[in-house]
Amino acid sequence: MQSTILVVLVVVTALAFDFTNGFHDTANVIASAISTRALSPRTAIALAAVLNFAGAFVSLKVAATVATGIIDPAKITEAVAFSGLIGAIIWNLITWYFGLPSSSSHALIGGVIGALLAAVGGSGVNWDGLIGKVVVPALIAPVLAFVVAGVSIVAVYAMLGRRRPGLVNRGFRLGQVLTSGMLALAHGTNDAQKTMGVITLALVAHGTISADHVYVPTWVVLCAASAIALGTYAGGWRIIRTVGTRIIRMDPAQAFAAQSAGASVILASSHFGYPLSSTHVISGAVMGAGAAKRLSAVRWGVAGNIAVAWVLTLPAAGLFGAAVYFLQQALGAGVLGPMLIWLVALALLASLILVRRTRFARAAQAS
Amino acid sequence: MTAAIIDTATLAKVVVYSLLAGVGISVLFAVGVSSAASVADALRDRRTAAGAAWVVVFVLSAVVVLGIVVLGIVVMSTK
Repeated sequence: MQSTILVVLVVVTALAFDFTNGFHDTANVIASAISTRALSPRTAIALAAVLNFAGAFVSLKVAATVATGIIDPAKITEAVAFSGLIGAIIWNLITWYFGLPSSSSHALIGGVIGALLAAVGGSGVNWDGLIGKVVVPALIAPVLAFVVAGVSIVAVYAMLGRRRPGLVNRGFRLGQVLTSGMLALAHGTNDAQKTMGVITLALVAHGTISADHVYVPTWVVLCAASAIALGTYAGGWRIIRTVGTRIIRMDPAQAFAAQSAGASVILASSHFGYPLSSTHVISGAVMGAGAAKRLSAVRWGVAGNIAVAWVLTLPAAGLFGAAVYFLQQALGAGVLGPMLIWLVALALLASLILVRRTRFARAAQAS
Repeated sequence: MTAAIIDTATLAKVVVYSLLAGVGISVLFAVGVSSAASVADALRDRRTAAGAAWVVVFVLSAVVVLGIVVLGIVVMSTK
């Protein structure tokens, strides 16, 4: 009975994480469409929400990597999955509050690995998988997006340099509806699957799914898709501001190139099962599109802050995951500990949302 | 050791596919925008044949861009 209550708690927490993932970084994908006025904020967020939902159904390879390629599913318990999720949510909320577009994906992986290290030590982690499928792609992906966006915009400017800017801008604004949609679809494909992977791990720990034949149940896909879509619709304004305008101000052609580069990198990586950070990729693409035009156009200070958040995410979320695991053990083996931790996390989430809404309302009144 | 951990062949595929799709879509869309501008110029100068030719280029580039997007989704969803 206790095990069942715990697994229900893990599923609810995972879906809450998925919600914060959407809340925290899904809006990155449409930030540049908003900054160039290709789409109104509400339309862009609604489009992103719908296509994130659809994207979650496109592939399950990333979920398989999270469930079986990075850690040993046989070593996972409900308590580890729960602690990892709470650790990731705490780190997500901290970076969201300070407006840093850090990676929700790496927070989730870091949280689960931190909790697993606290529970069973290094034997539960597939270090080769972690390096080969998470760390190396995490380093390559933003650079690749930077290069693809840079090459794209150089080619586009070479072709359209003598055209009237008005018509070119109108054309690329229209095109951004397509690339924003593609990027949102790509995000749903890659990000929603990580939550599916963690829920699947909890179901393996509970015995609902055999560790020998790990698969993602349809209801898990449906719930994860719904949670990330709702999270996307509910928030993301602070991060939109950072990625859309504070890294670089873009023209519609640059934004188009950045979005198509980001979508291509995320979709290609998802196809091969790499759990990438969409935040890393789109930030790299935005900087590439900016730097190709003029190096000084990129606000490297803001980009540096984002890079610091990237570096910190895996270890910081891991520390929070481990801390939550130890706290849970200190509170006892039953469901009381997880319930208390869950309520505290819920209170933290509610208070931060309240603070954000109050500030947003004040900003709206001031403008 | 490192080569055994890192699947370089798969990562190379990610790099190639990303470059082809990302740069390809941007370039093809630019062709579409350029041809749309040429259609407008041709109609303004009453060059009907040239305008019709640019319309064909515009439609072709639009179809190819949409084709790449659809192909990408189909490939992605192939389990």
